[in-house]
Amino acid sequence: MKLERDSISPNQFMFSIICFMHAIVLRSGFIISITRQDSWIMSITGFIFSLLPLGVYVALMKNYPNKNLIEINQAVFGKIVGNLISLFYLFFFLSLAALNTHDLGHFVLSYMLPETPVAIIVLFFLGACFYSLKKGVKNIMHLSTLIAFVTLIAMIINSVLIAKDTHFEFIFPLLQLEPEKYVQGTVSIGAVVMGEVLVFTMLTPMLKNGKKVGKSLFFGMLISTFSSVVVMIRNILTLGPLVTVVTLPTFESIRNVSLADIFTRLESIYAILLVILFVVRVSILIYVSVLAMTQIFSKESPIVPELAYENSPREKKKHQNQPPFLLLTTALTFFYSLIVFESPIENSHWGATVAPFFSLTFELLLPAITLVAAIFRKIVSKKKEVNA
Amino acid sequence: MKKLACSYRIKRFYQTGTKNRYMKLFLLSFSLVLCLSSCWSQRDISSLSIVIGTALDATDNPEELSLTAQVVKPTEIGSNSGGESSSGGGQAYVNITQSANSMLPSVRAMTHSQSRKLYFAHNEILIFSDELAKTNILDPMDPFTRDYETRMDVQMMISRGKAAEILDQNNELEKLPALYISGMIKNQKYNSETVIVTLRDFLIATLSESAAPIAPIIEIFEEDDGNKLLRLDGTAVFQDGKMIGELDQKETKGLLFVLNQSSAGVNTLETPAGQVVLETLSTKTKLVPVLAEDGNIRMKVQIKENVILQSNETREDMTTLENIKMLEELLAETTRASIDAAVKKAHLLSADIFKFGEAIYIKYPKIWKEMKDQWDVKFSEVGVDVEIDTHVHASGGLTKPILPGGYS
Amino acid sequence: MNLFIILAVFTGIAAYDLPPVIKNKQWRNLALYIVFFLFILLIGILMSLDVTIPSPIKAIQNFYQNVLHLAFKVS
Repeated sequence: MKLERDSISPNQFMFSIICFMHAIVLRSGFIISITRQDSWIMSITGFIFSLLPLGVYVALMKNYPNKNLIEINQAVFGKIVGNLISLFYLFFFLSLAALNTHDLGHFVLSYMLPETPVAIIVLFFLGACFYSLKKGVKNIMHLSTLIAFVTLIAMIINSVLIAKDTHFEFIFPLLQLEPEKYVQGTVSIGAVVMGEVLVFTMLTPMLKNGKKVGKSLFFGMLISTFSSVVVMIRNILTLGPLVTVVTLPTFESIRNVSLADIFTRLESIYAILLVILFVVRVSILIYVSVLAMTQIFSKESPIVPELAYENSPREKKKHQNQPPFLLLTTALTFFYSLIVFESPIENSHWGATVAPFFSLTFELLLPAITLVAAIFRKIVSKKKEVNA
Repeated sequence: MKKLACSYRIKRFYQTGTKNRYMKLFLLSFSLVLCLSSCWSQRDISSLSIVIGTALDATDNPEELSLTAQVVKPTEIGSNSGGESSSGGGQAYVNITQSANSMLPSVRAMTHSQSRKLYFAHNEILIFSDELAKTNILDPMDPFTRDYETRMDVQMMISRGKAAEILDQNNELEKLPALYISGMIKNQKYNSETVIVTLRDFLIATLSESAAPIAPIIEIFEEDDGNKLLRLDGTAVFQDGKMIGELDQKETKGLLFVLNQSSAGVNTLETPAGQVVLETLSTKTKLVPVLAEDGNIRMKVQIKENVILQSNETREDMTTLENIKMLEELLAETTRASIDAAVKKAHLLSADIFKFGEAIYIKYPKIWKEMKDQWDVKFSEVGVDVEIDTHVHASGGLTKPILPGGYS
Repeated sequence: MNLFIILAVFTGIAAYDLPPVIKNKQWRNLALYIVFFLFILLIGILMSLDVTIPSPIKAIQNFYQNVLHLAFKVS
């Protein structure tokens, strides 16, 4: 599996982040049941909280420009310890891919195809992900621009169509819950939704201009926060107290749309967009896992300069020195997603209790340790220079 | 771009080349056809019974309820509306009844004797009988909320008497009684004397800490010549998932005024000179809680009504300024009377149908926290001040009435 | 029946992935690939025989909740 350098622009990076985050935004039921009508404030505070891990990533990338996460680990800790730490990241990415696949499988199962075994749904979904990855992750990034635009326009249209059914008083009263619920909401959104920009630190060599990584990450997260706030406010205004008890708030609020008997049953558009967004999301997650595996286990780095004529077999032979892990990782994701939970109820329990801390370990703790070690290394090497 | 020489063509699966591209396209289309024709969970329309109206009744067994589903017969829809087809019947619908413990057990029990499975996605009305509503309405309602096939924008109604009979009432205008009833609901906005409640509104009111849910009442009304009609008459008030009382049409009118749901309507006024009919164009209400000096909360209801003169059945010219003023005052009195009647009934039932509690919560959250626990008592102590501002807009196409002899 | 499908699918995966590796004589890559292949094949065979494989996520949930006491309370 190869990663091409200098092949996408910062804007495409930003749009792929938006696509990535919006999939989770559309399934934000686990937060709304905790913080109820203040959930939109949690989006904003979660974004501010996630600026902390973002700062760590930007600092790391400034110290080691144009290297991705695993290369940074190898540079800071040395090859063996760096690979050991990268194994943790690999487990994290694989778990994320499996959790997201499970999520989508059960959504399609409960809404569209109740009698199909979930394995078949996940099989076809992963088949689509595998095919899109075979064509290259660069193409997914290009496509994500279009998908991000379509999603944002669909969100605006849905919000406009539902405006006549909203009751403004549902958003009151503000800030009446206990503070620990707000802390829980902030950390949940900051870690589970926003913190997954960690995945994009694996893809940084793809950017043409390495210095603009921080800016793309920041703006991607900002626009995702904005869309998350709009979606949550729309759900709260439409459903009121129902928003805490339904399983899928966005789904139920779009079901409400009925304009002149023509624009009815629009929730099917929501379902289609959700599936497309999840394909992008899981493809990127699987790709990052495969990349991590290749970087850890293979002698030659899979990161190569951009191929001008990639279909010519001579060029392919030159760069095909890595073991072909893609199909195996897709199969592993398939099996992992089938065993990860037994029911969506366990999934929401996981999301409400342990998921923020699990994500925070890999998004904040490990990179922070890496940053501290990197700074330490820099100081030590500067001292050596001074002494020598 | 460098030209590729012919020696590059190696027979591998992932090479570019016309034959292999076609083979890949074929495989892709094949898998797409397999997926998109969706054979696995397919539901053929000829294997579904499309339900357009549902009625739930209580049975003699307190654990069971009786579900009646009105199902469309597609072949009969196309036949003549008034004529009787020779195949007998000519009815475009079938009412299927089944008793069981809950909604899904009765739907599945129906499969013992039916040739098609019920499909609820087009259900338009949901009728509960008053007997069922008085004992327990929330438990039968839960499956209608939880299931993905049923929708939450069905119109909800409570029936006086058996709900299954409401669904069986034939009428001359529409072929399907359920569509007749749902059209009737849409028509209510022209009289503003009936509340229109969807399942979603009922659920939101149930989840509220203070408000009492309401639903319209439908009944079979027998005219003098024995003709039976369906009629929406009054409102049912709920508390704790049980029906505790009713409002009649006048009180419902007052209720709709306070809830800002009053739209078009008609007011007949008895002036000293005779009868005058005013048509309401639009009404706007603001509900403001006011903290009085003694610490109590009073609710201020500010109503703005726009009416036009619809029928002047007196001999006087009602478009003079004094007469307009008199009409406005009379109208304000009538409105005030209906609101007072509604408030009195609500105090009697101690049910907060006007959503006063939520208004107080929004404006004075701290005071609400103290009042919350004894709201059913405190609600009766909340005074209501009504300020009505009526405005007779226009007099229609005539100014002075037509008098015999003219205005010589 | 499931076992047969799993074996067929894994044979297909091997047939798709292995020829270029063998042709280019990349023995280290082949060894790595075979290790992972056998591991995932084992998981697949166990699943097709309806053996419940313990989920790592549940173990992590247990670990974080009971050992580290680092979990939010369910409201």
